[in-house]
Amino acid sequence: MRQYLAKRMVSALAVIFGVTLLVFTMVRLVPGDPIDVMFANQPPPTPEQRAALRRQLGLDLPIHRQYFHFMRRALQGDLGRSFRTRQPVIGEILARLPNTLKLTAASLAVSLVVGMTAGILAAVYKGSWFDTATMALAVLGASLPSFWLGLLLILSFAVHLGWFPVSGAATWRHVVLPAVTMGSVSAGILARMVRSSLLEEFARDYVRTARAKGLPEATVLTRHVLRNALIPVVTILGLQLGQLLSGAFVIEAVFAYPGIGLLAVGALQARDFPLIQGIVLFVALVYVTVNLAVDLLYCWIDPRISDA
Amino acid sequence: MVDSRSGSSSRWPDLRVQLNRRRVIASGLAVGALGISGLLAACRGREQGTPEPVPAETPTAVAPGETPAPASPEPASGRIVVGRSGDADSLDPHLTVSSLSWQVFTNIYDPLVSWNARLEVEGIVASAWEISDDARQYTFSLRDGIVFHEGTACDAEAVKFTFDRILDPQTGSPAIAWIASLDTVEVVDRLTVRMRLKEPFAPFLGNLCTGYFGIISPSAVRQYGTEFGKHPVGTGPWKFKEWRVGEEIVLERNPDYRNFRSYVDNKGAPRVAELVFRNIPDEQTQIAAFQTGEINVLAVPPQALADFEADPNAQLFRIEQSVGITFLEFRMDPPEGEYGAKFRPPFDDVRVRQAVAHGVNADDIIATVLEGLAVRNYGPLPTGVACYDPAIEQFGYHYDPQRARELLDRAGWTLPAGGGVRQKDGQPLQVTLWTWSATTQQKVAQVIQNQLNQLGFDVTLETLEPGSLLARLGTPDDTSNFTLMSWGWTEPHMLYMMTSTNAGIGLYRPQEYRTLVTRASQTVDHAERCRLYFEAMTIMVRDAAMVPLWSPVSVVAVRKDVSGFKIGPQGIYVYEDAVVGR
Repeated sequence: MRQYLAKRMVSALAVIFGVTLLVFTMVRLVPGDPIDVMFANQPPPTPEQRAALRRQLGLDLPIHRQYFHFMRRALQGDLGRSFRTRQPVIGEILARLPNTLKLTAASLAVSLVVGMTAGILAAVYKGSWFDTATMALAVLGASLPSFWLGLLLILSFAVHLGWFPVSGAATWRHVVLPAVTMGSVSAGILARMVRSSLLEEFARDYVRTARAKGLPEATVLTRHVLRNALIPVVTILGLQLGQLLSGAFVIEAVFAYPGIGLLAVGALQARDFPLIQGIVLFVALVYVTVNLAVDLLYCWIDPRISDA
Repeated sequence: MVDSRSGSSSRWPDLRVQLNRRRVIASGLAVGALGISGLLAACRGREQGTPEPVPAETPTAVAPGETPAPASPEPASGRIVVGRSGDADSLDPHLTVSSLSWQVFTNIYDPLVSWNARLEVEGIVASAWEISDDARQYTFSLRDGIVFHEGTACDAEAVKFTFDRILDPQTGSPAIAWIASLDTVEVVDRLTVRMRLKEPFAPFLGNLCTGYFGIISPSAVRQYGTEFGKHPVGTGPWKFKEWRVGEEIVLERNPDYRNFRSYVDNKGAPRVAELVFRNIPDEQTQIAAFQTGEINVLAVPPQALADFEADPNAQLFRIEQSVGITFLEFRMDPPEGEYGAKFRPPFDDVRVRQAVAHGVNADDIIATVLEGLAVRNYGPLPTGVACYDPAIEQFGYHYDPQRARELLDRAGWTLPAGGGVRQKDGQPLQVTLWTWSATTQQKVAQVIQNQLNQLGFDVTLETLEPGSLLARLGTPDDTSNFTLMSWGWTEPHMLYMMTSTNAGIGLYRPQEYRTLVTRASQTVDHAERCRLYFEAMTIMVRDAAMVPLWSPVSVVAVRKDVSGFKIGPQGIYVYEDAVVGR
């Protein structure tokens, strides 16, 4: 177990290191000088303005030295300062984190409740009209572009019905529409996964044995089948969580929801290198951590895995 | 941009003597007219312009020293919520050049002087000013009793503190370039401050009108240090209340405010309790938020204009006078030495450039692609900038495809039998047009491509992301022959600035033109300055050094529950007369 954990940790660190190197180079390879973007609405900067800003932002150093500085500081927990706001990157990210966590948790809840319920019912009533309808909806939910679904929900529930606000994050009502938008995509995927995984388990011998013992169907489902069907579901959930975090980039922009996604979109447009690096590093950390957690969860659900 | 012409001031007769020791008071005189407003609308690298000046009703002049009654007839209530794409980066006016920040902090800080409705300079924190014989010394008398939002006095020390902070290299203020001629700031007495310039610079007073030069609270800067941008304190009509980063910035009314702007009727504190700037990046979401009333002020996205015209809840303000100009610029090389104009082939022949100018049907593009949201402009100066003169049209190029074909024939670019592309010495007339990736901009470029192809050009259109376009122009990566570009500035000094960059029209520096725009920037007399600019423009137009197309028009939608909203000088939104929900 300990060896398994150590192996996973090492590979996680390698991933993080790779990500920093990649992002650092990529943001600088993308054409577009942050100083030009800064002056996008103004007459272009004079050579003096440009030189002074480059010096201030540390852009006058050769790229390998910039990376070295970045890594040295990052290891001490300092991701530098944003070019635009000149505030510490960590602070900018942490300020948005609660909003993104709120949204991710809410979407995950939507996805779990809707996806699991729909998947279980569809599996139990396999072949019925309910099964067909649910799976059709699931495919639809999983394949709709989320920004389009978001706009549709805004038009129906905010503009026409007036039940929810269009933009912002001030109250729980602000979270509903974006969470439903994001949750429904992953709910679709989850429902299909739960259904097929349950059907697979239902066909196994132990289920026949349980039924033959005369156990009520509900007990067979909850005590035996669900637990075994959970492994692929947890995998999907882990991946979904990562996708929820990155899907938030689009959805947060549509709903003007001030989370990490919206911060990232602004940072990219402004070529705010430290902020982009910080956000990507942060998201990579979360992704890696979640995956690690999922792996550990396997071991807990099915102790055979860690021995393998 | 200012330093580059130092030393040239002695070369020209001093035209500033006309203003010797003239006392210039608040609503009096257009000195050096119109400087740079921070509004800086119309954008290099952006599609959507910012609103432009609209002459308001006859302004009531405020004599120096006169104190308007700080009266608010009814208790203030309600909120004005302005929707826009993006959030401010900093509310420290010395540390940002973002127009999203400017839009907010101009309501927090008052400048020494500002524009009135006729685009003349009037006093805000200053009641009067005096310009010395050599036009290098500006002495400002400050109004008594103006206090910062946290209660300290706004006096000569505070003004000195503000400008010293900009000049201090430690601050790293980009705004320094716009007052680069400023040498020292000196406190004469509690309410008098004197500024000395290194050289005469006519746009100086106008530059001071912008929000970047609003007076900041020294005690707040000392208290918050580098965090001042998150805790801004000024003397303006609105006080900073809260900034939920990425979401919204909330300002509240300054109950002690005395308004010295001649175009604002309400001489006291604002009548609305809160002024909010909400970040909504997506256009569709902005429109939805306006429809639900979550926001009540929004710059209308051009393609949604018809929807807003049909919306019974919307009042529309059309802002005709623009501080932006859209044009075609040709690829150029830097002049050898100080002066010159080296166009790259095939546009090195003036007749080919003139053929482009005659071959683009700008009126048609305005009517169809831009849905009427632009004003045809035949010269480089935007319609809403001082010294703009529609008379430039008589020197300009009208749509005339026949004439364009003749010019190309005469330049040696002839149509081969049966061919659609002109040739010269066996070379086809192939050119690459660059523009940036914005829907309208791309459509415009496509129409231009089509119009020029009909004349026998073979135009390749390349669309670049704005940041990437700006980064590549004028570098070895620049593979364009000409570019669809926009520029914006609110001061006629723009004619100097736009020919002082490293690409396109920025490299157009024939001695005749350069001399005129340089002389104009040293000429304080407004009429004479405009005359010099006009002459310079006729040279640029004669050379077809660029092809001016139009100045954009923007539209602001305000929900009907807000009354008294106004568009001020240079298109600023004026909230101080507004009332919500009555």
